[in-house]
Amino acid sequence: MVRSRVIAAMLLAGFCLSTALWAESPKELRQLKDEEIAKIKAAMPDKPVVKPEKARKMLVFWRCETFFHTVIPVANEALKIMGDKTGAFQVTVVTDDYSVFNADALKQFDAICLNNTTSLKFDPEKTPEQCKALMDFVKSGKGLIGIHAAADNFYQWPEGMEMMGNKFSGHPWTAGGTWAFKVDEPDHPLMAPFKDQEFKLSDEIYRTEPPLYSRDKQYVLMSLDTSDPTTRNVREWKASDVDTGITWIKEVGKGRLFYCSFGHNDAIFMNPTLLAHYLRGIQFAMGDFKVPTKPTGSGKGQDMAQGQTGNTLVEKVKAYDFGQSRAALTEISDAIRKAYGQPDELKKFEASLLEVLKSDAKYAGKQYACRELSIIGTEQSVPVLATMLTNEEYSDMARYALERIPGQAADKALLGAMGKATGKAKIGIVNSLGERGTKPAAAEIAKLVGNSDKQLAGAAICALGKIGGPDALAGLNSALGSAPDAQKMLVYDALLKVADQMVAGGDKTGAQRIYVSLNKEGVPQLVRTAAIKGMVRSTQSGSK
Amino acid sequence: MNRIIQSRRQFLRNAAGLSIGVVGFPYVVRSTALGAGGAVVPSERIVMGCIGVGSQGSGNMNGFLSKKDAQVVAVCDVDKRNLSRAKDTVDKKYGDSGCATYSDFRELLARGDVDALSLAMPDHWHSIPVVLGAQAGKDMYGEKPLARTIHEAKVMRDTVNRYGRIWQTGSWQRSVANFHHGCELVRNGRIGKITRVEVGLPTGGGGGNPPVSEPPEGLDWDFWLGPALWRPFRQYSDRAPHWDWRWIMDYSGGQLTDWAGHHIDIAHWGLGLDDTGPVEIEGKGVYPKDGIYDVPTEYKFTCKYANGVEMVVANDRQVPKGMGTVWYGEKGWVHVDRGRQATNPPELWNETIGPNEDRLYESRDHQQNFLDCVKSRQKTIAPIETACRSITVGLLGEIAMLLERKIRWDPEKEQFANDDEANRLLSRPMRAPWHL
Repeated sequence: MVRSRVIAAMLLAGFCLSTALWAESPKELRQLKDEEIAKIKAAMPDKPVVKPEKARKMLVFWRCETFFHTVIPVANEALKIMGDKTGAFQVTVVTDDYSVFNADALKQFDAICLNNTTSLKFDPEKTPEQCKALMDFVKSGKGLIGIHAAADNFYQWPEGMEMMGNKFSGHPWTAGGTWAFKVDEPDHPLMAPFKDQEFKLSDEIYRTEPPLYSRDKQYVLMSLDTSDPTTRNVREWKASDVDTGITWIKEVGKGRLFYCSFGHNDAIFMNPTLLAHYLRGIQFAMGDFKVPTKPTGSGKGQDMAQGQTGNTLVEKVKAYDFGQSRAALTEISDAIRKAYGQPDELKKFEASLLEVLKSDAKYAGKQYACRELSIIGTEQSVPVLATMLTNEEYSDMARYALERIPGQAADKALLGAMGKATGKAKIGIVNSLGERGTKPAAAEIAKLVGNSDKQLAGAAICALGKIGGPDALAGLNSALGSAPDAQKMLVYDALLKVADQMVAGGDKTGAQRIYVSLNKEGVPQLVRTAAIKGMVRSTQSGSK
Repeated sequence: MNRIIQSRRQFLRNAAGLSIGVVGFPYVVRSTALGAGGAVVPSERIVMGCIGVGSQGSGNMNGFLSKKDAQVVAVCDVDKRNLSRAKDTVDKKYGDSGCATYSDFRELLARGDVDALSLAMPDHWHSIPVVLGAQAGKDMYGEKPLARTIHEAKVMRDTVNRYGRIWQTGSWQRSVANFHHGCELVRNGRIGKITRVEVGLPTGGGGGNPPVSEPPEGLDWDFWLGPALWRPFRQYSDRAPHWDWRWIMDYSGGQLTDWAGHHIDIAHWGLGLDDTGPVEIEGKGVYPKDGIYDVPTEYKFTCKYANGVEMVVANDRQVPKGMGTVWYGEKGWVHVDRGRQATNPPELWNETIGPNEDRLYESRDHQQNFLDCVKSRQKTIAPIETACRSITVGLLGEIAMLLERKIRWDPEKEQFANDDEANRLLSRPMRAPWHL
């Protein structure tokens, strides 16, 4: 084995970086003390989870091009003991020599375990056979097991990084700290050893960063519990850290990957729960323990939706205020997104969001509910939103939802509230009716074009231009007389729009009457030109 | 230049088009409008007002200040810090103290002596001043992306064109030689029939959860929010709310929509698809799960056009050639980006386009092209209908990713076919009193 290369790389790095970032790999791995071996043996399960279909052989590879984890000999020993004590497999080769990565040499193994390897040099340009041997091995139906730094490799080989599902981008949770974790899939067979769905543990945890890390690509069974303040308030916190995976599995071709982020500290390999978890993962990777490798449609998706509706949803939104973490809201939004296209599921979310609006949730929480209702709201939402329309403080958020909800119920609610509302709330309602093109509202809105509140009058004029039709036209014609000069242009613009709509609707004569009326002395040239163009278009559309 | 004279000239142009097809329409054209009495005298300078004078707006303003045929007479911003800085720059340039300042753009629009506007506000503020500006008869140089929603983009386009206003979008790459040449190579079949286009745009990043705080002195926070839903000020970056509003969906679609007006715009230009859009869009985005920033950091979507071309738009890490536009044809590919280009075969780049081939509009100075067109009343190199089509692709991608499914777009009607869910996302309700 050539060490000089590694040392040279380290020296070079020493020049580039002010402090040495990693320890050198030792020439020989240390022998474990008797009491360490005894602790591992005592913590180790004594039988396999399932009887292996045949004698299984494991290659343990521990090469470190950058950081050397001192846990490596401990983990090597634990794997040997695990195989011997349970009979699930046998560790037959432990090495850090790349030459093992050729098709012939790999044939004998059922799985490869990357024990804290770092920056492995697999390069499709320089070592294509090596890359192919590993990828073919896994894809042919065999197993790959990754311990902790196994996700800090293959930087020249994107396909390799993609297979592992993560790369190194820091570990805000350092080895000495005690962090919170949650079991995301308590019913999954690999998670059976965990008695508690939430637990705390001391180990170094790697950041898992999209897009390499994605719950769509790997089945994440356990992750960091960032609702825990200590876990959350780490110095280098990034927004994406809210989903930090710990254990994941996936299928790679016909083969299988099992990765677990735990494995920096020696104590991990003396912990009965984690060793039992590892055994299950290894037997899965070997192909003996058949477990789901994807979230099952009836299982997780539904659970997620159920977990996000009802009281849970209401409580989460009620707890939210501007300036706080919105992680809990994102979970709800994600669950809602997953339910798109399933009206029954969406109804449940809608009902819960309406509960939020009826509760004493803060302004921010109610606004969040309205944002979601803006997308999924139906007539079911109209009565609750309608009560908010006349309240100047809440009117905008109510309209944010209501303006987009199809159907006459929303139109009626807006029209009903318009008469009662005042100030900006009234202006907003007029605007929403205009955007919706609510024809039955035109006559009522027309009464506002001469209002002494010029902002309201202007809103009414613009709304009529969007709504169109005879009532709108009548209102605009009266506005021509009443509007102050500063607002005349709004009236002309609205009239042009009404005329354009008439052309589109086939009423060429009516449209031309408007165009002609706008092309006369006293009307700004800008409008006259537009009217002439409209006239030309109406003529052309008729001849087609 | 006098705006009334412009309008008359514009009127003349339109009136000339009326000779065919109008029967019995009793219009009267005054002789002065036809240029009698030598009324059409182009003055030396186009009088301009600048709305939004933060970083991009100041850059654009400085560009116009350096033009002999433009005179900046007014600046407008909701942040007094930007406003006084901009006024100082203008006054220093002209050696006087004549630059007027406005906090409300509507007061600037009411000035009859202003011919043209330079606009650079956050995306959620793009549409309203343009609609009112067109009604006030102003020509406009406005920043990309054209609008925050497809509906706004359409209304802006229709209004600007209804009143015959000259519009230049800040998609300045069209006025740069390598983009122009790349598009001409593609248009003239030098790589054969195009099958696929890849557009690489920047990757985004997340942010933290800054606490609620008082808005900085001089900033009218409520006006800055304008049509967007109310929320308290939070110091999400050193310069907040400026520039970094880009990472918040209420105000922008992130890198995707910001750059849609550049590399997607160029992709359309090369394809000759400036006047249409995709028919199918499907893709996926990665959204920050926490923090005030909520636009996608990673994104990738595929657009299918009616002619069979497929366009992939993604952040640069997810396309093989990174940033820029790449057209793949039967005989090779052409890649253009800022300051670089590549072709396969490599020698293809050196080919010249002959005078009888399909030549594209040529401009080598984006702002000058606008000023020239204000005078000539000709179309600019990046007119508003083109900008509308360019941003529509970015916004369709945003909608497809938000819905997490394939969406079908009708580029003729500019609507989704039988898709109420997607149609809801075409527009966005505005906070009162604002409206289009």
